[in-house]
Amino acid sequence: MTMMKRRTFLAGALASASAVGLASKAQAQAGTRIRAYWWGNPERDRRTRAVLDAYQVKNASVQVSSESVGWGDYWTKLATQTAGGNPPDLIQMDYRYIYEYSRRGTLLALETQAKVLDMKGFSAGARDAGMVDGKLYGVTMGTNSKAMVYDVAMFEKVGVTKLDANFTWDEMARVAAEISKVNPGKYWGTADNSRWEQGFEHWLNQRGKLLYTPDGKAAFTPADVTEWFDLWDKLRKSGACAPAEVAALNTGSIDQYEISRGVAAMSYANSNQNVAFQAINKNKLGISLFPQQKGMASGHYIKPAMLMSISSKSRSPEDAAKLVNFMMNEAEGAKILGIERGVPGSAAMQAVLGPDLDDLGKAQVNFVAEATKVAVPIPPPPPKGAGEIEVLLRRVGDSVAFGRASVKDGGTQFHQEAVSVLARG
Amino acid sequence: MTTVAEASPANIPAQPGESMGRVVLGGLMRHAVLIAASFMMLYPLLWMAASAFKPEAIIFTDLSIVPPSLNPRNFFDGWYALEASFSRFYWNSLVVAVLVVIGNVVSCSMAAFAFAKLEFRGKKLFFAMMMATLMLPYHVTLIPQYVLFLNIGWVDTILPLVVPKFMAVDAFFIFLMVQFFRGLPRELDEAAMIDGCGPWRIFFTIILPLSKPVLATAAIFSFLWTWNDFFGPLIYLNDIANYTVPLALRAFVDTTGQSAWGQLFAMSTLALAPIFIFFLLFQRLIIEGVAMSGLKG
Amino acid sequence: MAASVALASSGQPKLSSRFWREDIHGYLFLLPWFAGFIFFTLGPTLVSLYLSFTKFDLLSPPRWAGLDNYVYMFTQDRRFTAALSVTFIYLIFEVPLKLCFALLVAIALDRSVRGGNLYRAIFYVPSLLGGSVAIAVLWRQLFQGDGTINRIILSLFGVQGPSWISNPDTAVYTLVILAVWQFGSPMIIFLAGLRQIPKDLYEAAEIDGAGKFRQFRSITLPLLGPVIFFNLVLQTIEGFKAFTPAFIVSGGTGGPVDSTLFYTLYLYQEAFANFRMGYASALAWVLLVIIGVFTALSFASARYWVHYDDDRR
Repeated sequence: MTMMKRRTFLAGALASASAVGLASKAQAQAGTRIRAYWWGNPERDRRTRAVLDAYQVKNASVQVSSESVGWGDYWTKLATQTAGGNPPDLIQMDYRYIYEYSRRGTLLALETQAKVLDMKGFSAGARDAGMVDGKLYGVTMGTNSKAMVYDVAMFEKVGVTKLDANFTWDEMARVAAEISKVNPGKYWGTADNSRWEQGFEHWLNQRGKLLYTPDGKAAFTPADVTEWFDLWDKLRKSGACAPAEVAALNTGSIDQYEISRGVAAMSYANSNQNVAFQAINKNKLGISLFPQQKGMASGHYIKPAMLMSISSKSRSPEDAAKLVNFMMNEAEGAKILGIERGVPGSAAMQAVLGPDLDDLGKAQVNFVAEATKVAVPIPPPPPKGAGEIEVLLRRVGDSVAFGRASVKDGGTQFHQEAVSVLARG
Repeated sequence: MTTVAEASPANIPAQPGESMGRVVLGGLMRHAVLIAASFMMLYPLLWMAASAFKPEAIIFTDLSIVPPSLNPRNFFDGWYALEASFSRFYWNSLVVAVLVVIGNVVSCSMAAFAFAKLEFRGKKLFFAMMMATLMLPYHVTLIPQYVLFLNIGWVDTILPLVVPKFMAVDAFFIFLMVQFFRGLPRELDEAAMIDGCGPWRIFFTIILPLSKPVLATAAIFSFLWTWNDFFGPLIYLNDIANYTVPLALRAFVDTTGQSAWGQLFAMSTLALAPIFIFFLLFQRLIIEGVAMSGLKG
Repeated sequence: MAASVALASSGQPKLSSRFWREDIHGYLFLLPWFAGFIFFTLGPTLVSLYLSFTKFDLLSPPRWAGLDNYVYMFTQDRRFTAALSVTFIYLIFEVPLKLCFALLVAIALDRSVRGGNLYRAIFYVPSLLGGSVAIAVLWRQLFQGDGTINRIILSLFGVQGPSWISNPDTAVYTLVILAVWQFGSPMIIFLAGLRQIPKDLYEAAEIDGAGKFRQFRSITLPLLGPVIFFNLVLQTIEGFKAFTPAFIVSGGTGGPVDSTLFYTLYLYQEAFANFRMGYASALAWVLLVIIGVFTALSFASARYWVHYDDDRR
């Protein structure tokens, strides 16, 4: 940007101020310096820092600094740093954003580092999950799939002990209605999933449809949306599903999900989040495939829970790539990281981790293996505007649930607004 | 107003018509109301402190403010949970907050004195420009500002958080002090002027000493807002070792995954201590006020 | 008397005029402000104005778009109008309620109540908590369907209330209550203002037999004018820019059904979630104009009700 040039004169004018001695230690250091940036929590921070330290021990000339913030703030800071021309070298990426960042040339195509970053051990699915427009922009740090999180005891109470492919939408409606009778008006069978964009996508995938076309347009029709809203409207009306006021309290953070608040026996999330759900729940939770439709696809696909990307502006891309390789392909690195970010993409590393897993970890690995068997191909990465459409579905879904719009009008409205969001760019 | 203001001072009269019993009863009533209100004000704090002692599985479904145990594990674990310890974060926060307090009080009081008591060309325009800086949401100046600080090499230091404050960028405090300085009787500086005092002496020997309450107010707000500020540090500080307390607190919560809730609430409770102490110390300056009466009438 | 607002430039006493008109002193005192304005504020502000005429997605360079952003805002953007009306509703309730509350508490605690220091500190605690997670969690617990408020309503009136915080019709009012509950800052400013009122005025009024209410009306209110004015102007500006309450309670979504979509929350979503910094800048400049108009009106009205001690002759 031009303003950078214009502003350099300030450097001289204010240089004296920075001589105070408060200036960063980082500026004047020899050797390679790599900035690693991720979102997370203390547990992930500890593991990531340990892996970075282990790498530094072996490569004394490389200095890695850690920068970590929570999910919500992560993207604001990354956008600011990228816009300012000062992105970190290693960037933890999300499937939702990889398209936005890679298409604008801010990420490095990892084929350029094939010498040091070996993707051969990855399953094709796990590898391709980091591809945009035929190039690899992110290494999958862990795979997951969507999963239904449920309260095991509640299901047993209504006589359901095993969840498999026979758990259809109809069966779900029946079980949910039963559960709602246990503690009427306080506890419901299922959370309202009509407002979750990924839930809608999943349902479309079951019918062999997509949410977005490969060139980033809406791939669904108003009738699809109406049918989806109608499905949930019936569940709400039968009492199987929590009412609008309860659903609207879920703003997307794990502690706000109906199952975490103790108001419903089923919530819909991602398989690697089950550890987090269990941590704040008194009752034993299970994970299972989403409700199925007889004779249709499962709708599940294997996707990256997180990816690691390298900035196209990195001054030492090779060192950064080596570091990624250490985390993803070497037993020492993989052991330190564990499955905290999801099940590793490389089969060899899965084998390395296998013996050390606890119950929750095993459940997670088994679930991904189970889902892989029935998985559909991964849809194209969400286009620019996908984040906005997620908020849009929440808004229109709520307005249908509150009865401010009919099921049909809601379907039309969502489709119309989604199309114009995608066109506006 | 004028008539009252020109009335002459007198001794405090005894309160007539209030019997001893009524006073006591009234006092009790007042304290009952105040204690009930205090409870409403303190509830979230008490809940937060109690949550630091609860198992994470019940934190979000349990509203009780009675800790189920007194195991201080979360306080120790939380203190050392991140790559750098909270001792480091407290130090970082403290350095920034103290510098900001000094910067704001010094630079804003100077600017406010100019606006309130001096005459010069362009004053109205400058004042309007200053007020306008309050009105633009900071989100849209963030990126140009980031580029600016990046180019002078200040990113990942505390300089972007501190240096501007020495240049009176906080219009809130300037306007606040203008309002208070204008409330000081003009007779004072007129008298000083006749005695041959220049504006600098008037500023230091008359205006500042009489403005203890507003200066203390500015100090309290500067400290509190800087201590709690999250967005500035988020953008400008990169290395975890440079983090301030609120930035470190955000590292405990991952809304998309596992969070260390118990440790978060333990550390959040502790993080209130410095601002609470700062408040208690400086509110005395507000409450003591200034003996203005003798100067009047 | 009192012919001027904060910027009186005429009508100073003759005696002093020559002295005070030595412009240089004013400029010297303003020097830090000038420096800060030019170095840190002016550049970024002008850049944001420029960006408001561009399409800027943060990750690639801005592209000139003329008036497109402004045209879209005023002709097509329904969320813009929704955000404006949410913000106005919030403002209309929050500002007067918060100010009255802050003033009442400041006066009640100003007189020598035993333990006043402690009460003041306690009443300031909600403001210390700011946008903490604890507040988000508890506000939900208070105002949800089976929350504390509804349990109280049920036991008193036998009526089951709605889930105030997640109902689109009522959600914004729970945020008003949250903001009013955090009344600490204006309270402190009022306290400082009360301390500037000479005690002897009250003593004199007492002798004249004026009751407490009369004293409040003829001494406290008028002498507190400049401080009330300050709080009014600043709370209005802050109200327009309110962000945190909606952000923590709605998780940044502005839901349900955009009923808590504050203007700056929308702006933030556009800038950082939807990658439209150009459009967000245009939103910001429109907000600046709106706030500017309100502030100018406040200043214009002030000449009728705010009297400064240094106007007195």
